[in-house]
Amino acid sequence: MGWLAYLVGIVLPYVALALFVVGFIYKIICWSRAPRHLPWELFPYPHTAGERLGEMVIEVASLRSLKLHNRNIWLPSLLMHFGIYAVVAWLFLVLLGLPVALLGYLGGVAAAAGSLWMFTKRLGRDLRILTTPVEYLNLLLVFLISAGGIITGFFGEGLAVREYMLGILSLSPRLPARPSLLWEIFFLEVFLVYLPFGRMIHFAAKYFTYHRVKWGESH
Amino acid sequence: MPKMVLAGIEIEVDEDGFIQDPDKWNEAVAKALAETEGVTELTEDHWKVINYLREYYLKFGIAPMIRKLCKDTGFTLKQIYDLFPSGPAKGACKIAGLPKPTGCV
Amino acid sequence: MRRVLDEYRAISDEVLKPHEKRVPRFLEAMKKSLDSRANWTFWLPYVLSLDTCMKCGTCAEVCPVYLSSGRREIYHPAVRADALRKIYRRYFTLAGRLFPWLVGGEELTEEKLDALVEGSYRCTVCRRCAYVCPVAIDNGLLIREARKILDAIDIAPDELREKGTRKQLEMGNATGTPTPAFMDIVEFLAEEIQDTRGYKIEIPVDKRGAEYLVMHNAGDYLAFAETVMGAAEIFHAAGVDWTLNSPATGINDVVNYGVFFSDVEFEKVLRAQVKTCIDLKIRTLVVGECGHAFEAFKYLMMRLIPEEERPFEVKSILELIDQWIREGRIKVDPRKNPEPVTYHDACKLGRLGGLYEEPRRILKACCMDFREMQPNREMSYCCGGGSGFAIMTKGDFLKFRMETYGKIKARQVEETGAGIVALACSNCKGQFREIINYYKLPVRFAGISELVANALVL
Ligand code: SF4
Ligand code: SF4
Repeated sequence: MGWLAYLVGIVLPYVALALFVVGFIYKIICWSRAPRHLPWELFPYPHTAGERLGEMVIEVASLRSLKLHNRNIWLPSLLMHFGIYAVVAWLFLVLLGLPVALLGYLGGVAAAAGSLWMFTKRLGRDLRILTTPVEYLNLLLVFLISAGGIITGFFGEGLAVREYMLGILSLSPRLPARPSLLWEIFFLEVFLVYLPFGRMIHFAAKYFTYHRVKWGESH
Repeated sequence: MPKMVLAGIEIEVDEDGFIQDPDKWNEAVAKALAETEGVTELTEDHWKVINYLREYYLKFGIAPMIRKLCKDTGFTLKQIYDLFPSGPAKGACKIAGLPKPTGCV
Repeated sequence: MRRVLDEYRAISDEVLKPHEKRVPRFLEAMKKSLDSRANWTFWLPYVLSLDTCMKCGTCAEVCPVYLSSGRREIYHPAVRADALRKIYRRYFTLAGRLFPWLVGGEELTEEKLDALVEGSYRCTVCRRCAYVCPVAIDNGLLIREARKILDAIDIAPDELREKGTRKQLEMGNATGTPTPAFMDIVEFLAEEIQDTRGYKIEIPVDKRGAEYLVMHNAGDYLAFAETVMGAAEIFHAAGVDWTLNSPATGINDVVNYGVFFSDVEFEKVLRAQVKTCIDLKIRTLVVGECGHAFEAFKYLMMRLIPEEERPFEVKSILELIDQWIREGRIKVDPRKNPEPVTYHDACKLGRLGGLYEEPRRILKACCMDFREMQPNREMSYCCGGGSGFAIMTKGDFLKFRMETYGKIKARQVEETGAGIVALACSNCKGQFREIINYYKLPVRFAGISELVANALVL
């Protein structure tokens, strides 16, 4: 099995990162080089950079659109999103050498619970009629990563994770101290590769739909 | 173009049942058109409106303004709706053999 | 008529041509629509809306058609727009070509094309859904893009194309009013003003070099003459240099149905209108009470016709009236409009046009008892006359308009207890005329200009 660990732990991280970066940049370039379309804004909208930032922060932090207009999925979605934010924050903290295991676990639990809850919501009539298999798959992927992180103890192994990540980033990759971490690493790789090409890129698309369309184009 | 048999003659109508050639119109055709609009009897009041519409159309090539129609025939818009339930444009104009009004009317 | 989507039909088989092979032509046209150069006008919002809908269903919770129909699946905004997304996935994305079942790609058949055509005419592109969508995805825009693709393969409602844009370009207005008839109308309006107000005013026509060219929706002359009369009285009272124009000068109809279904038709009409303004050497084009015309001239024109090619200003008549009341250029007495009045925010003027305060300031100045409809402004419900619906009555289409949008609007109006609904858009007027008739509401509608003229103090 040594070659499999090598593949997942040493080779794939680079492949995944490369695909993620290339895919992501490709999308961003594609959108930002779009010809200037006809004005198509919706009133009222924030005009100054400060106001726009404020709106964005409120939307990202509270999912206000859902709260106001789609209460049914607001809490599950909020739970899932906060879980994801927490896990991402945990990863950054780990890199900085601050492995707050609790944050990772909390995030993992929230994202796992939120994605499951969303999954059940999707089975309800109103959402089922517009859901395609890939939406269920997206939720399962989130669930897999968050549950995986808990079960394999990934979130508790901050120091090992840090060491491994630094190895990758400094181009001297070494397998993680505990082989069980490879599971979670594999899930994350899949996620990274998938991200720019699936709908989960919405966090980036949102920037364009808001700044370039809904909020006009600074005129 | 679909065709319809109105008062014994075959006449081209558009999708909404407006006759295409105003020259084919006569009183018998008007009666037949009225039936398609659910107007079973054409009274003197109906004819007043129909004749006014026709005359205006033949002179200017378009249906008259609703306000002018009301003023010159002496009917209120409500009375015209009572006479022609689908209204002056879709009901009365059709029976008077005018083409269907276009634009935002 | 043959059933293709639901119990209504917006487009007849004569236009639809169900026995021809249209799918390959549709796919060809759609391919072109995805090319950022060939279809630059809305390319970015178009592809973003195709690609990143999260299927959260928030749009459905605010869509008047979906809500009022008892949440019918075919009227769900995202499901309706998915008709286009499915084709996009299946034919124009890698994932969809490899795993169509996974990402919701679907083969296009002639039957599905029929349903797509009708589906594209079950949404007024009011964009209420786009306003609340967490990702700002625009299902309305997708509907408009679908209509564009269909137009490219010659499927468009004849009210909007053959008897709309084409007729307007040929006759100068979509109503087909010839110049002698137009002159007769203007003469009649002047007489009417004299009869009702007791004073005579001059209504200038085709005056070159005027400060203001007031271009109304030509349908207003025929169906909503009170608005045109009101505007004339206001311009007269303001004592400004103004004029109307006849079809002899080019285009004398401010409408542009291309806004609803085709960028090609849109541009043709717009250029003809701009040419008329240039020929008349006017300084400001005043867009009469017409929502989509305001959108066209104020926003859509901006990047389509370079500034130097349109040497005149554009103003909505609402902006001008509001300005003149505030400046004291015209004086109004609210006691002349004692009845309770409510206002319906036309989508094109409000959500798409940003004119929320102007009509409200005007109405508060001219009416004793102004009442807000709930909800209003950016959350205003479309009346159901938008995107061409106001003039589409084929088959049972009027019933569709009444049983969906109309139902919501009628209830909103009733709740205000107002006796007058103030409107500033021709399509809204056409729709409200039917709503009031259909639901037997004890109210009447009035153009803003009419109410202002009524309150004028000379
Ligand atoms: S269009 Fe927007 S609100 Fe509607 S399902 Fe898609 S993401 Fe959600
Ligand atoms: S644009 Fe309006 S009518 Fe169309 S889907 Fe959105 S909310 Fe519904």
